Amino acid sequence: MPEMIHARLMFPVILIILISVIGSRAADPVAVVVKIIGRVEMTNDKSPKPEPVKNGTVIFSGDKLRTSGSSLCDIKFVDDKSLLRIKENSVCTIEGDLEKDFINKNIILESGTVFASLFKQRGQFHITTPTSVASVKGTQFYVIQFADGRTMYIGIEGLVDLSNDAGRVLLRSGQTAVYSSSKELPEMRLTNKEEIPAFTEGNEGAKIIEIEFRDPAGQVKKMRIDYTEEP
Amino acid sequence: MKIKLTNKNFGLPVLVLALLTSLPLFGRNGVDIQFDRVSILKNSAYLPLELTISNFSGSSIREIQVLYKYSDDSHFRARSMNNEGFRYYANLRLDQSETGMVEYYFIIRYMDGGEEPFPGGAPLSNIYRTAVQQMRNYGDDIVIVNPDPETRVSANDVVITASFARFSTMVDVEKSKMYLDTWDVSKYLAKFSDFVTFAPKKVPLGQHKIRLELYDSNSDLIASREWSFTATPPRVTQASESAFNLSGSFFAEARRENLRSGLSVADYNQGALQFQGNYSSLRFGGRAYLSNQEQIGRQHVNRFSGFVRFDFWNHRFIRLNAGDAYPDFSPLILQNILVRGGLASLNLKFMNLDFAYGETLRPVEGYGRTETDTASGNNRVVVERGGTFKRDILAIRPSFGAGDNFRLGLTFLKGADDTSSIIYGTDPKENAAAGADLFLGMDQQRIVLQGNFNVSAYNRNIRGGTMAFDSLSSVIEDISAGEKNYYNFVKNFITANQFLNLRPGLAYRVNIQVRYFRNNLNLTYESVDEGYYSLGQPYLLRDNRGFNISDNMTLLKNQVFLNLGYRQYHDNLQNLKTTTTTNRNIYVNISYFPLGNFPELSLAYNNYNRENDLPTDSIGSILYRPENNQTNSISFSTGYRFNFLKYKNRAGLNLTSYRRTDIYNYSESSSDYMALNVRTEYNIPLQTIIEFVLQQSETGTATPRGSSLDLTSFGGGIQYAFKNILTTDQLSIRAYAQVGKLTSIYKIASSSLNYNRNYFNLRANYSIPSLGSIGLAADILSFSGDRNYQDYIYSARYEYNF
Repeated sequence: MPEMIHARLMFPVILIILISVIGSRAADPVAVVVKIIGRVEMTNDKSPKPEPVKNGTVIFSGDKLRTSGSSLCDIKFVDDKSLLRIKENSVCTIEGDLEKDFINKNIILESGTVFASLFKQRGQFHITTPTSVASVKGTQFYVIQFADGRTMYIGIEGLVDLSNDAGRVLLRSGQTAVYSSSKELPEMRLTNKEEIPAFTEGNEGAKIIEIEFRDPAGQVKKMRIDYTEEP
Repeated sequence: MKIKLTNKNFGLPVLVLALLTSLPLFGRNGVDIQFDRVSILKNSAYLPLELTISNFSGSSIREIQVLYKYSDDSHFRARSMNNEGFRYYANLRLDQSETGMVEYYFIIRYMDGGEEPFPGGAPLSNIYRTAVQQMRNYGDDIVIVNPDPETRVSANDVVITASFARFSTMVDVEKSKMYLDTWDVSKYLAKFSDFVTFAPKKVPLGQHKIRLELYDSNSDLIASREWSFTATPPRVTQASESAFNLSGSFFAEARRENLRSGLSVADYNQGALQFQGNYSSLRFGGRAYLSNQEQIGRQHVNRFSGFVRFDFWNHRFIRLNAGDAYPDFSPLILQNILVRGGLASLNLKFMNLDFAYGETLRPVEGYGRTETDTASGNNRVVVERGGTFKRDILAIRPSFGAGDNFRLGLTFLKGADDTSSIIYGTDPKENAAAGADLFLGMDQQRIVLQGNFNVSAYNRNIRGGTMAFDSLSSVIEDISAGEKNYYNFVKNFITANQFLNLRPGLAYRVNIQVRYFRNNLNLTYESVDEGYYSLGQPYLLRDNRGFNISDNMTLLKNQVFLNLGYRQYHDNLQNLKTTTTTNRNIYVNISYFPLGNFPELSLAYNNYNRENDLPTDSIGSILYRPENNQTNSISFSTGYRFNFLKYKNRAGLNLTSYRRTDIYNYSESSSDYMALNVRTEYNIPLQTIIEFVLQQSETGTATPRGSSLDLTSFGGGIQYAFKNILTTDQLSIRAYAQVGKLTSIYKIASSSLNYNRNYFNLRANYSIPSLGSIGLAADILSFSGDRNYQDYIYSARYEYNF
């Protein structure tokens, strides 16, 4: 009798283990963080607690990145080195579906600004916002998701195919498209140069303190501290 | 023996002392040729070759070409060697996907018009071979994710990432290796199934080189890629696509040759400047070589060239060349020829276009006189020694496909002598050729099918211009309708007169390569009509048809190379000759290059047979020479590295035996050669070498015109390098001496020559990296006995790299 109970218990245990192993198939690594300024954190299904991101951190499909104020995070996808620059105060989830030798990419932008630069694109590249989806091929553009729900696309180079429930439009270089909702076509206009976010290289938001001191040998030396301020 | 001096290896405490493995020791009389053969080359795209020549012959060297091919190819490709002082060097670009045996020899051309192969007897009875251990390298399929090549990144932000999704199934990623400069960072790599990444905390400022090596489960290297980046201070990070880079070198050299104890004295001065650079997607470069041997009565000795190249994206580019170049459009139409003019290439992969126009021969006036014809009263030119007409070519080649798996090319060439370029010349020529070539690669190029088909029109004397067909038919009897149609067609392209070949010349070649299970099976069939000409391909063996089948096998983890092959060719394709000559060649090479410290061994056998169908006792043998000869050569070489008294030693032994039998006894010959050498590297920057050479040759000894040559020589060399004498400088001094005894016997003169031949050379080189290097050299060749004179060559040279 105990053996029977034991057998009855073992079956669901094994089943649960199998299901959990199959269901929890390890997410694919899809990108690498190549530049960090300021504070950037990452969460995912396994680890809801925010973990700091640093240079070289490998991004797995499903990882959510959050940048603080005066922060910046550049990631490159490993199949085609497409660059995604996540600017300050942004939240986005990186999804990648690994095909034979390329990755179909989908960036779910909840808020903030991202810049995408695709040079030798392999696989699909989508950016999904609450109002629309951008499908791109070999181009450069910005996506800004405002807190009020609007989404702005700014075409820098090439073509971007934008779509939502209301239909599709093409965004060209020098054009701006602003979506107010997922049910309406965007407002299209020429880009106002002042609207283009700065493509900042270097230590955006970084500050420096330099302290002079004298060493035991009497020589004056300078210590430099690079830091960024929390918002 | 050869001592190689290089400024680039300035930091090395000991310079390289290489071994003599060449055969024979001498070129033409008075020419010492030193060459160290690379016996095995592993995973390299280039085979470096370098000859050091001490020329006491009295006629300076105009040019040296290296002719090379994989042993299973039927055609040699020619390449001119660069010259700096006594050094002649070239880097042969190899097919990186091919493992096998590369065969090569050199043609030395002198100013007096003479030329000779090196090694002697090449390519039939003697040739150099280098085993190439080459796995297919998928390096181009490695995606450099970060940092982009040649960019500048903050020293604190270096993340090195590369992916290889296209061939990830072949990679054992755990065996991946990455080097940051010379630092092995493999253990810090984060390794995934299709990419690796590494984020050092900080790298030193300046330029750095990354090398990624990927291995399969057998630990064979299957892909490698190198790229560079520059680490900058954290606050001055700049995108560097606009960075301007320039590098190059300059040399100037003066040399005096004092030969036959002062009987002949000549000065040779030369200098060259070469540079290359890039700015963003633009690359450029140039080279100028000047020599005091440049004379209007010779072909070009000076060389000038420059190029610009603009890269669009993903290796698509446009390139423009001006000056001297060796265009390579198609092996049977345009290859192996110097063109002074312009080249242009547009490479879009799916469609490409190449264009070449320029001069291949400069005009050199001959000798002659102008006479008045007594009958007609007209003046006529009598040529006593024909000069060389100026010759121009124009070639264009559209092609389709990137060449990875498919390429279809069409090549057109027109070449003509300029009849007005000289007065005293004979038979100016004109030619047009067209061809189509196809390349198909399947299963990752394990199966390759390639071929070309070419047709040419040729006029062997265009003086007088085109002749109307009616006039032509009065000169040539029995012109067929087909020939008339051909004449009418060809006259649209080239001069048509009585010297026009009234039938097109055909040439074609088909090659199939199959690479599976470490075998490389190769089958080639080719045919070149006697009437096929291309003025863009000077080294074409015409009236030749046959096949070549070979198999290269690499066994025991690429330690053993086995190469078997059979060639058979014959002439008289159009049955215009009285006899048909057939050449047959069987060859077997086996080499063992152990991974551990065991002796390396190479054994080669070559049988060459040439015969025509003419009996020696036939009437035809009075007019034509019957041929039936067999040449057998066996060579063996071995080398072994060992430590003795804490010093590193390498001993080498080369043995070669050569026998030629012929139905004509005076053409029979034999030669035996042995060279033994030991090289030692000491713990101080000192190297020594000792060597012993024995050679015995006989020719036609069974006839009254027989001769023989015996050579015994002993040599020794020493090199020492002084470092940091005044600053970060280096002085290296080398001395070498070789004493030898030669005995030549000539039956026809009933005489013999017994003499001693002593050779000495001294080299000194002083270099400071920032200022360049100065080299001084003296070569002395001293004869005593039945020959009694001295030859001296002195030279000074300055080099600067920037």
